[in-house]
Amino acid sequence: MNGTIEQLKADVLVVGAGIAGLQTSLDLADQGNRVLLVERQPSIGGRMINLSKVFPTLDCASCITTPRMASVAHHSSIDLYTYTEVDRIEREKGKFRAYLTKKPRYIEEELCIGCKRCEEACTTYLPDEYDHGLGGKKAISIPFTNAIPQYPVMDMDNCLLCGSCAKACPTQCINFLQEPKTFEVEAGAVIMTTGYNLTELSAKKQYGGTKYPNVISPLQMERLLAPHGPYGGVMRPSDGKIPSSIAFVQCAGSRDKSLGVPYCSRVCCMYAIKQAMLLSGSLPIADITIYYMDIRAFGKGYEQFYQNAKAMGIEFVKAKVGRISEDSEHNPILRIERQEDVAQPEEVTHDLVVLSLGMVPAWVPDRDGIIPLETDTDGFIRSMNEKITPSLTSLSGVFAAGTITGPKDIVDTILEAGAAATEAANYLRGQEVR
Amino acid sequence: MDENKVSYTEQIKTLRARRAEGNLKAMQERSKQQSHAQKTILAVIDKEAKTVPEIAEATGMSTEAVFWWITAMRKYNKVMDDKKQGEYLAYRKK
Repeated sequence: MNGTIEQLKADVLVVGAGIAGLQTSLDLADQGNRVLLVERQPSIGGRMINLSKVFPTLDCASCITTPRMASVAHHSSIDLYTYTEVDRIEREKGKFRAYLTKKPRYIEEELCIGCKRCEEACTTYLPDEYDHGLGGKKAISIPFTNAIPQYPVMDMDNCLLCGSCAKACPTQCINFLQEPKTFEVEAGAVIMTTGYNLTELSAKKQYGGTKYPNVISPLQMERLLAPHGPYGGVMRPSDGKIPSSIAFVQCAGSRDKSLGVPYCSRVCCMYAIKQAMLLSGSLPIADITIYYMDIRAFGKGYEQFYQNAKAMGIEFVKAKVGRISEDSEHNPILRIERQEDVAQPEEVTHDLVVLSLGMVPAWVPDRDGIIPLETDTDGFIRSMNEKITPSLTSLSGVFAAGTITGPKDIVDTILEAGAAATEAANYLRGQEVR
Repeated sequence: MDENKVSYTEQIKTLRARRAEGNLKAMQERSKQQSHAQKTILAVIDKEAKTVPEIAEATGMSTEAVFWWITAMRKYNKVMDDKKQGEYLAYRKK
């Protein structure tokens, strides 16, 4: 650890550079505020840059996110700190003091030109977390094609210490002995936009997620549907077969007290319908079935989207899925009980199954520390006035936007990000008057 | 340039000294296995494009492992897509 702690100043500290953090930072910076945006991952863009398309318009997710990522990176009023953890935030005489740790990438950023020669030279392959393990990456690699910033990260725990990357680097930017660097930030306000995680694929043991290779998560399906996905098309992980029968199991991580997630995650119905529609486009002869309890199409144009999916031939089966097993060819076998017509248990075999997992908060104050914000019973950050000012938290001067306060879609997340920026700007003006 | 080369050598030496010997040996063994898996697969698709089950049969590896390596090598331009053969895509060495 370096001995010196660099001191930084900002009007607003934004924690998390997913779509909410990007939007709220841009809104604040465009109003003339100095923003310091912190992201713990090596690239900004959050979950959204990982998606194929968005519902109900089927616009390309990357086409919406990438311009915002570029605007943030080039904005003169935004200081961007990626691969950086927020250790804690303290309140101090009406201001906030945050302590940050920038993790080592094992490269000198000011020297790196993003040429990827280190990555080409590296001989160690690892599962690529950006593709949710479906593809491979090298032990030193740029996270993904349109990552911002375009710096590689070395996985030192898995580095063979062969020196190939250092020999290949034309600017001598590799630094095997790089240490974490600490910063202190003084800020007038804080906006938390730490987003969500999906429930674990393996959480519901009866469904065999992670045990059966062809039972996958919705984010894995997003990667298969993405133009630059790991396989270059939709294939199943066990053997590369192009699937002719794909099923979605709804509420596989939500509305389930046994998983500790009794609430509805709101977006699972819509993302499953979107993925089903995209699949029917890329695999026109495939049978696509959605097993559901009830469909929740809550937003503008969502019901029409659902009706369009039915008209396209996607089969919606109101049924409960009791368990999933597999045959010798790794074909998942679903044991279902239909809720309509004759309610009898039956077994149905598919080539590939997607579990529609639910949303849980990525950051939980009691578990992860940083700043003691109040949470609701579901674990998401409590909004102090949900109907009128949803971005207000239990601490004055700390605001929240996006899925940190509960499951929601991208449209609502972007709207909340704008609202949080306005609330934070108003708060700063109020502080100046005092 | 030479000074930097020495510096890298020293850096790697320092890190190797810090790392437990068993750990480094396990990594070297894994590296050998990775290299062997790639060479085995590339040898099978050198002259003729094959599907994942065909490569698995020829190499004795599991279809899952073959497909993971095909995906990884495809990303790093060692393997390219060929024609569709029934329900599978065939791959060949680039």
